[in-house]
Amino acid sequence: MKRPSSHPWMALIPLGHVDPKHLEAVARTLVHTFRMETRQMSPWPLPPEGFDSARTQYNSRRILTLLEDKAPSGPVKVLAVTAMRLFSPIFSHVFGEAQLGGRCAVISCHPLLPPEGLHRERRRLVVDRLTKEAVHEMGHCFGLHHCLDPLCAMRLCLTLEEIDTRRPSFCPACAQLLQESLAKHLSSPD
Amino acid sequence: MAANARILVVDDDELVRLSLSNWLKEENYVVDTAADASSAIQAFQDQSWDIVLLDLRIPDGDGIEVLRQIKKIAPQTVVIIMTGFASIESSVSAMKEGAYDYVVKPLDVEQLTRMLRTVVQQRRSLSGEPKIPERFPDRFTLENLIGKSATMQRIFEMIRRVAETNATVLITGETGTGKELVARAIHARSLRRHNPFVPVSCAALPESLLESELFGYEKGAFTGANKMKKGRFELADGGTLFLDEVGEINRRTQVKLLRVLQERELTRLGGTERIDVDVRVISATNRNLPKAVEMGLFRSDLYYRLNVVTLHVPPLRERKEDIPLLAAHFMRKYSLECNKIFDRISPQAMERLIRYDWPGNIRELENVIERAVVIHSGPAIQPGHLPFQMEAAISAEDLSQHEESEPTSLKEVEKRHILKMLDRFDWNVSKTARALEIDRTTLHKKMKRYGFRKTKTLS
Ligand SMILES: Nc1ncnc2c1ncn2[C@@H]1O[C@H](COP(=O)(O)OP(=O)(O)OP(=O)(O)O)[C@@H](O)[C@H]1O
Ligand SMILES: [Zn+2]
Ligand SMILES: [Zn+2]
Repeated sequence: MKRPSSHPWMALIPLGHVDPKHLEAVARTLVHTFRMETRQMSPWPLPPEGFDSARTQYNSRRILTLLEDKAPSGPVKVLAVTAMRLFSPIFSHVFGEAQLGGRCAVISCHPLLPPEGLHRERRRLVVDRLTKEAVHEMGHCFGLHHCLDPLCAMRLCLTLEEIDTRRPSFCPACAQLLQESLAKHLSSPD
Repeated sequence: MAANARILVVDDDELVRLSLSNWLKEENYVVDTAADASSAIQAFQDQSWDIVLLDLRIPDGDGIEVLRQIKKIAPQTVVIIMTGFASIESSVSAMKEGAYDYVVKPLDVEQLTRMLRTVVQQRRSLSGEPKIPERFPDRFTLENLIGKSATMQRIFEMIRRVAETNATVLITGETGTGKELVARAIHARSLRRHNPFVPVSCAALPESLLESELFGYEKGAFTGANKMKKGRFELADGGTLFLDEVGEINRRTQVKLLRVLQERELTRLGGTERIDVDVRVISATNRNLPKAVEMGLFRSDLYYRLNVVTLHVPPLRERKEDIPLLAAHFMRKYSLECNKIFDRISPQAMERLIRYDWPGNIRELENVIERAVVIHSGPAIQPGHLPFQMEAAISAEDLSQHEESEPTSLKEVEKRHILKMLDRFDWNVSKTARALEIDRTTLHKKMKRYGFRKTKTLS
């Protein structure tokens, strides 16, 4: 499918093996929320540069720099999803990390798993949380800051319970800011 | 602090600088980074910083030395030490050198968030900014009331005069004009000020509850009354009872109220004992009470009792000179409360505030400003921070831009209007119903039919 280069789209890149159901849910949510085509790219191997052998985890910030360097130039935004555990170079735990107003973000399914493991009905919960995280981090990529509205997707969440109360959608104000940001992306073809 | 709090991150690890500064920006701070001692000091040459997050182990120098220098150049700056588990000890000695606190790497987001917010809050209260009402000339404020318009100045004068007496006062005015605030001001200036001010919202309670609220009940007065309860009249003894929306009281309660006012004593529900009460009653209404009297809905004898002195608070649209003052006041109030740095209102936004006709009066203005401050980051309130319906309500050309979305069916008009009113009255069903001149049940039904549920919950 050839498209004019000005038609903006987002790329969803799995890092290593990621449950296809998770990817699909994230893609669907992104299309729905940002009204922008979202293409699932073929998976990247887990980047050895991002691996910290001392912590046996992946460094989220390093993954972001890697994405910045190596992601295809077509999409306006790039979201990487991994099932591996991420760690932040500075924070004790993270659900994901984004470049504020930038192009790339990464989220992990790992911290979103309920401690009891993956019972069938819990799978929905993981998908729920994952899609909310995707929206939140992409919100940052579109320049949105944290919001005090406890239901807004841009609320800063520190716990799973907070993620669970937060909605996957934006409060009216954040929605408006997003609209303005999207309009900018639509008007500048690149 | 005049703008977003400014934070300098000093750390030699590039990824830490990137991650931390990015995250701090997401939290609405202004951030810069320094990789070593000399650039950290350099950063103080031409700029000032509210907070420094400093890793003590920096390449070209001794972290403690950097701390000392910062404290010398900018003693007001708060320095928070970032440290690994291994070197907590050195952080402790850093605190002796004037560091505010330390955080252990990897940082706990919650702890850091809380610490930063506390520091910002403290600095703001320390920075000697005068308290909000004091920013205005004295004659523009009375207790918590603000107003420079001639009508408000006249009301201030009346409050001062009537406060010294024991007269019952009836305050009239549309919803949200500040009637309760006027009542509180009267109380605060009266000899009763050291005794309680007890408000009762007569509209908020079902009739049966209103009576037991006002007059109290004895044990066993009805099922569920397992112990004696004093009513608000008794609680207000020696002080002031504020009957808000007094026009909503039913006939029976009106009679009881009248008797208490005449006899200065009451009997609790289910009781026989007569209890003396010394209460000054101030009441308020947004209804046309003389009309209600005329229609036989409100007892005239009670009306004359309540209405020894009348104070009419005009709607905001009739005293637009007060809007800038009030808007600035609410901006500061919520900015402080939410840890934001709003300190001005853009001329375009102010123009819009002034042009709008504020059917919900000052409460609506307060809500609009609160919403702008809570949601956006400042430092200025911009026209885009104000709700859309305000824009739509003020000018025909603005309206015509939305022509394509103009509703065609009557139902759609109703739907939108209800939504608008709900929003205006903060999803308070009673108030909205009253404004729409329908009863609560009807409104509930309509809300259900249109699938309206309160969605915005701003904490
Ligand atoms: N002159 C004023 N200066 C500062 N704040 C005001 C002023 N008037 C009203 N307010 C604020 O506006 C809000 C509404 O005021 P208040 O509750 O006194 O109105 P009201 O007329 O009693 O409303 P209602 O009839 O709906 O009960 C309050 O938060 C109050 O603090
Ligand atoms: Zn975030
Ligand atoms: Zn929001």
